[in-house]
Amino acid sequence: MIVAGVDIGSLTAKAVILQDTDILGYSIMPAGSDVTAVAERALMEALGKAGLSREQLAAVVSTGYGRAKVPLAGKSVTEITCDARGAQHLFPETGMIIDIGGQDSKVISLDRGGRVIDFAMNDKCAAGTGRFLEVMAQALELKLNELGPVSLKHKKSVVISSMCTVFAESEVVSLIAEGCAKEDILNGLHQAIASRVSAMAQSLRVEKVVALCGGVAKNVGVVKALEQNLRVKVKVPAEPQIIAALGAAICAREMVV
Amino acid sequence: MFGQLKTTLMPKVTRSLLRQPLTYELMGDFGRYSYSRQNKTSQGIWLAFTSKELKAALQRKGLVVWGNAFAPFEMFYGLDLITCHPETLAALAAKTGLSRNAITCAEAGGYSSDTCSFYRCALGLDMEGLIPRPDIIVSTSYLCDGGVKFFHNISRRYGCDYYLLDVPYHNTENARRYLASQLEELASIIVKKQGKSLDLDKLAGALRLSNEAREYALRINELRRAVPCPLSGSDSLSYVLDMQFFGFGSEAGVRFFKTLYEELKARVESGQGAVDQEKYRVLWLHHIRPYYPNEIISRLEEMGASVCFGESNHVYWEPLDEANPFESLAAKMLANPSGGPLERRSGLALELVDRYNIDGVIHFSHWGCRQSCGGEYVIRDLMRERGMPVLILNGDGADSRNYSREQTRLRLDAFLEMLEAKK
Amino acid sequence: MAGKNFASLDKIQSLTEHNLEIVADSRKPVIGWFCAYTPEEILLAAGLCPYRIVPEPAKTITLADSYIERSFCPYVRSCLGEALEGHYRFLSGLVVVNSCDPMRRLYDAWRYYIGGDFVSLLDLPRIDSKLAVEYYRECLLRFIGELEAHYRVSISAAAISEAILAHNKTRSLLKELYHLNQDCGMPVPAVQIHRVVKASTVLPGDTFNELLEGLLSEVSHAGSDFQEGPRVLVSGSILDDPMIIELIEQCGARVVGDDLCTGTRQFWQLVEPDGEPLTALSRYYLGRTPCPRMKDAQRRFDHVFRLIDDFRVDGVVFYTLKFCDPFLYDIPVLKSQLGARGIPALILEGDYTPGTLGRVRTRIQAFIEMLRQDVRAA
Repeated sequence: MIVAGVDIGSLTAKAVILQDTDILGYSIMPAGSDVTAVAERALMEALGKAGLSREQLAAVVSTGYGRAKVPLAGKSVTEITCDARGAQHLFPETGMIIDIGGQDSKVISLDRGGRVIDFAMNDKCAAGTGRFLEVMAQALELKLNELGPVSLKHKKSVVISSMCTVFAESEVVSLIAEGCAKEDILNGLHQAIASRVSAMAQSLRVEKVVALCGGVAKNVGVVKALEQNLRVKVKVPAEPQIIAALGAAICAREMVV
Repeated sequence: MFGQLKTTLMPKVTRSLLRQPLTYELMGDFGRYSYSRQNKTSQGIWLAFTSKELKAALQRKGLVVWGNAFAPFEMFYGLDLITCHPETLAALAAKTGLSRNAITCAEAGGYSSDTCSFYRCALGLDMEGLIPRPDIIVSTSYLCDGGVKFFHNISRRYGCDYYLLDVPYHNTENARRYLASQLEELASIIVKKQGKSLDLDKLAGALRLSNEAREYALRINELRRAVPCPLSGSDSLSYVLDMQFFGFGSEAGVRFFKTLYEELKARVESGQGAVDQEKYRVLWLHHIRPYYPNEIISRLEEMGASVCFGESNHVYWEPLDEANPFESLAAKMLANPSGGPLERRSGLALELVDRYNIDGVIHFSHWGCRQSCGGEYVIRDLMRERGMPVLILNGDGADSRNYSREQTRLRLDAFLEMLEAKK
Repeated sequence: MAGKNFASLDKIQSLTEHNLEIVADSRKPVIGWFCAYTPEEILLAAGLCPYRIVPEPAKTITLADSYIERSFCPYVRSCLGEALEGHYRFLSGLVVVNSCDPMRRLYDAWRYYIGGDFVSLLDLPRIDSKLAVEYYRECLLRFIGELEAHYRVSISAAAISEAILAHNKTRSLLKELYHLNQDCGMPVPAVQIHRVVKASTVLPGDTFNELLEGLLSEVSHAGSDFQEGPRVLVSGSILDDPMIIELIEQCGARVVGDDLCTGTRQFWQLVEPDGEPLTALSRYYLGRTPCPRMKDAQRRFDHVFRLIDDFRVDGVVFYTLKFCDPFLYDIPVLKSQLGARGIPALILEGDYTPGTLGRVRTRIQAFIEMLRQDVRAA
């Protein structure tokens, strides 16, 4: 049976085609402003990669910020539940999922059966989200995908103490002016983001098996900093951005069964 | 041109109308009529009660007292005072859209946006002359620090007496004596101001009325155990709560709770619930909900979740002893589960979860409310030990600028999905 | 800041840095406390070693955010964070005063997440009427009963009176230091004064008193070190990190006095040494210059005006901890009363982390420049 999940975030749209337990194809694209249109495009692109057509889909579930405005979906489920399903599919023993996206971050606690028992979100403040890193990347004149590798070269420990993105940015500018090395500053920034996120995780009480998803999971510096803060190894999927869409597809499968 | 007139003239006209006793008389009468036609007589009684109070406070035919939600209103009624409670007015301002302006006013006056929006709103309403001025202000030292300071600052503006009822932390004999003496002292101050002597019979009468209303309140709480629950969370956290805070001791209070009881009894007998298809039963923690237009309760109800009880409606005190008014009022205040150690509050919450067959708990974390939000993680962890899902819903009771429809809906939906998965 | 070398100051500083060892050496059970309304006299009379909890700014505040709401007193969050990290395992007991909502919740969170054999809450009235004094006295009696039962000691009235005398000595010496420094033309920089006051809460009484007497003698023989500049009063709640004071002085002003929980409000008045000691303590704590959580706010405002007169203050810098409701509500009132007297005020908020100091620097600088204009004009 073939199903699909579509995740319409505020910055990116993702779609996953699932057959039983295998991902046949997926897509990631900028969301734009027309939710309905981008949902179509994302789904079509994923289907294209899977070599399938719309008619072969038994069900589609939507999730994400724009989930309510996707007519092609039979049902909408929040990204919290979808993240849980998707991560648990990839890492069956997961007790906790951390999702650091472009504009928000979430932590989700699961029970043994993979059900959500609690969650915490930060969608009010840029600190602790991908946005924080975007702002800092600009200040450091680096590309987003350079942040991780560069930070690994750090030698000194620099503490960014500001709680707020705007303040942190001015701290970074001062540090650059003082001649502080970029890799050291970056490491400090990753520590800052990790400590914000792990505080949220601590509030739900950290489990042994923790999975990390969302775009920021591709940043190896953040992953390491998180592991240091949480004192557990963190599992990162090969494609961390599509986890919610995958979870939506799993929900779609459950709908049909 | 008409648009311009509307934006400049309307607020002025509104404000001017809100300062007229006649406005409230009409509001009360019309409201009562209109509600009774909708089969919501109890709500009409509340509106008439509130309007009548405001009218009396504007006409000033007696001493006007401002009190907070935990002040002993039985005593105010028993002493023939005209009562006014700015906390209700702040909530009503939020409901009618007057709060934005009021809050901005208060902030312009130097009040930090980190403080409770109800008090900022009330301060602003007062600055705009929309609250009848007090002759005396009485507040209790709990539930919160902010309230104490708010009332004190208002008393400065008017140069009027401010009596702070210092409520002890522990519920001991020493504490009861201390609080009862303060109540007695307050009573003597009031009657002196009135040029009268203390009428113990009248005071006893107010206590009697309070006990009568209490009986009905208990029965109502019992009815809410029914499946489906007959009373909507939206109502229980608005006008019902208001009568709970301010109605005990008055005739209207008895009428209100009696009428509400009869309305709910009829609904339970015919199997009518607040929610058409009740799927989940939710317990609400915190005394308030947001009062500006919002979709919190409506979204929950839409998805079959009924907020069937809240800690704020719990009757936590023993019947008052007419022969010992000050001691029993003191005992009532000291019995409040929100005072003292957190165990009182968390213990009650756990009890309510059982009694009302609860599927999930929502703790509404009102911005700036340190006393209630400070304990939310402990309560959540205690609930977690029981396998009871808890949603800590951050929000703001009176400041609509702090409300994000999307973010709130996301949390509610995720919470509901959790409840669904448990079934 | 050109400061003379005062041997006593150095000694006080070094002892403060090693205060944990001193506390351990005392071989007395250590009892932690937070709020300036804690009746240390009773703890001393019980033969305990009182230890004021002063967390390291910013270190573990984030950890606490997982156990207590974030929009909460940063001092309380820091204390909880450090406790969660295990910094206070050496305490044999803890006393929390019911001073405010955050303290009340700290008491709850501490008991639930950290535990301890002796964690006591001492209530505190908000008024100082005769009824309140009587009630508070009974609270103190109850607290004494708890201490006696747990630590198996007997606390006599004589012991309390003795502790009152010792503590009064500290109070009057500190007050003398403020006045003396002023009279001698400010030879001691405000940062050092602040450190001395802080030391009084973390060092054993007799040691501290002796050192302070030494300092007073040194000060009276020192020459003036007053640089021209606006005279500033700092008003706030808990101010453990002297950086803000340093910052003000770096910007060219002199901090000549303070209205702080951790400052003059702790020692400007004395406990009545005669009469029944518990009644004396009760009257003292309820009647001294109040913290904003007390009902009688005007008494604090009047204290500020007296200090302004005594120390010829040109401007006031408010530095309160973020989310501190009692302070936040007082600010518009005090600011307007100061305005009526022609005293400019700067309102700053701190969150107990050094990170925020960067951005207050500009505002302080601007304020000092403004004061300079006024001072020159006057």
